[in-house]
Amino acid sequence: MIAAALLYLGMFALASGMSRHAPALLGHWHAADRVAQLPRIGWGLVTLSLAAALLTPDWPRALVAWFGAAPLAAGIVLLGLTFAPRMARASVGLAAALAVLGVGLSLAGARVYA
Amino acid sequence: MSAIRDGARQVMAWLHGWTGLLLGWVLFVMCLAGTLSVFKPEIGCWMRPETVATADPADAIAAAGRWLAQNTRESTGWYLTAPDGRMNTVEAAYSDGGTFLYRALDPVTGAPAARETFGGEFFYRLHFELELPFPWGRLLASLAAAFMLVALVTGIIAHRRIFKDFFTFRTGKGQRSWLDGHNALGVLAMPFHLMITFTGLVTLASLSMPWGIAAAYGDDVLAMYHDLTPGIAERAATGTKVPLAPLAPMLREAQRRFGGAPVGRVYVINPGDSAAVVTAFRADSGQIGFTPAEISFDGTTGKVLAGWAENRPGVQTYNVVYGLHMGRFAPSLTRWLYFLGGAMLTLAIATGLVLWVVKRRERAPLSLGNRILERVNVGVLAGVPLGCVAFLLANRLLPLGTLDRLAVEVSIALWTAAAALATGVALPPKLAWPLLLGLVASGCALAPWFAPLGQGDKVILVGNLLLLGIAAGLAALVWRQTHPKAAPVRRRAARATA
Repeated sequence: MIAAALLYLGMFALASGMSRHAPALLGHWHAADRVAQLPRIGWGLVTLSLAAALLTPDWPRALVAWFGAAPLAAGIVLLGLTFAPRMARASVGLAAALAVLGVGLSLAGARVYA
Repeated sequence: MSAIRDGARQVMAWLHGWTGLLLGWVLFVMCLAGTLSVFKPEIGCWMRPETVATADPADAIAAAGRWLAQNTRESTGWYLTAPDGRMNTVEAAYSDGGTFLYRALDPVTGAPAARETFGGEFFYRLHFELELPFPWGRLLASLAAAFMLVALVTGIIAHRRIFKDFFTFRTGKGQRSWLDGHNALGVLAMPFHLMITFTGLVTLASLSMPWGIAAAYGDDVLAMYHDLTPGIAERAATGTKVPLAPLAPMLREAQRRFGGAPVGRVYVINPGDSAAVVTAFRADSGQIGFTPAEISFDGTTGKVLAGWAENRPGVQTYNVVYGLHMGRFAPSLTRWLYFLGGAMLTLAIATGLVLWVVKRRERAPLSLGNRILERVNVGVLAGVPLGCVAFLLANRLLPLGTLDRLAVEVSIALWTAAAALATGVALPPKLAWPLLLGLVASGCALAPWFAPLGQGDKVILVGNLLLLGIAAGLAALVWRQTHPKAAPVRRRAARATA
């Protein structure tokens, strides 16, 4: 859950960091100076997500699942920015909430699926 | 320098195009069937809605053994797969009086399921045997997988802006849109595509590249099999009839030795003979590596003859590669991701084949060869899914007692696909696309409604929802094909004149 949410956030940041997609994805935010930082943040989030998958006890399976989740996250970003940019943007909040919830749950000792 | 790079790119693009085209239709069949095979056990459950009983793997195999002992003659072997959390029947391949049969057996009575069908096994076999006789189907599948690997690698090199275009999909722009779609489907799931193609190639390597085995073992294939699975005891039939000892105690002993892991497959060689051997394999869903342990019993006394737990690095490496391809270790979520990856590869092949025609059509009128190609494209890309849907519909509509029901279902699927191919070739693509895709959509929309009433199983429900979802998606596609907004070429022409 943490890895998948972070993957979506990372992919969203990577797409938003591209000058072609920034206006569609970020709306009026795209002029902000931080856009230049987005690719770095994106790669950071994707790496974090991979680390989250590898830190689970059953890491071989989590790694396979991570490679499957990557096209899913990227595919949602792609379809979102083509057909429903608002929904793609709203999903950022959802993914962030999921990541925080996942971290909270695992800190509380619950078993969270990657 | 850049001239050389561009030249190399063009050569790669040329190779990508031709390798994709030459075996593209075969690859489309393989990928579609392979994607469906991810849910092989679940398809089996969907296709046998009357068989609802469940049993412990060892009890189910024992029940199957009792039925087979009474209902087969002069059998040389029973090859049984135990039920697990995903499928409730025992899959049995066995010889009976010289003919080789496949049946799904009820886990409690051991008798064949009321609705006789190959179920998901049809798609699984189609994936790598292509309904062709051994070894030609597997060889063709190997060759196609090799082409696929070449197409993937050349596709990556030929792609000018892998990272820049990573999230790009421009709609309504003719060739540009098809290329964007093809690239997105190929690039987003690239690690999966490379993994599944490479592991698939390795899976059939003993057939496509047998020279290593020949150099080490010569013609003695049995010695090779013995070295690979030392836990299988081999002995020739004596011809003396001795009844098979009860299987349940042997399977319990096997499970105890597997450290409590359930039995996956069970082979009974020469049942009813004094030299009968029962071999139990540990279930393979526990880890990525496949078939890690087996144990053989004397079929008449139940005494252990041989046992083996695999830990040789070379064999384990192969097992992991093979296991990655089979995906049987995958928990439910990962299985859906395998399905997604497979679907993306299938669609990447389909869009690639369409792109070949679209690209040439936008430059100049199509040559005769490309016009034929365009029509075969329609026939294959819509006809193969139509065959698959016909298989599901035949499963629902054929009466239960139909003679040789399993084979009739397959024949209906193949003849439907053949008829669709002929239709695609005979009709102009403008008519054939919506007609055939409309038929696929109608088939998917109809199939869920013929299930026997009162079957509320979750697997059947999810399968039905998936079919309805595909029907809705295809119906939208057909609607777009029959109600075009404005042809992109015309729009470009209008802009040029303005």
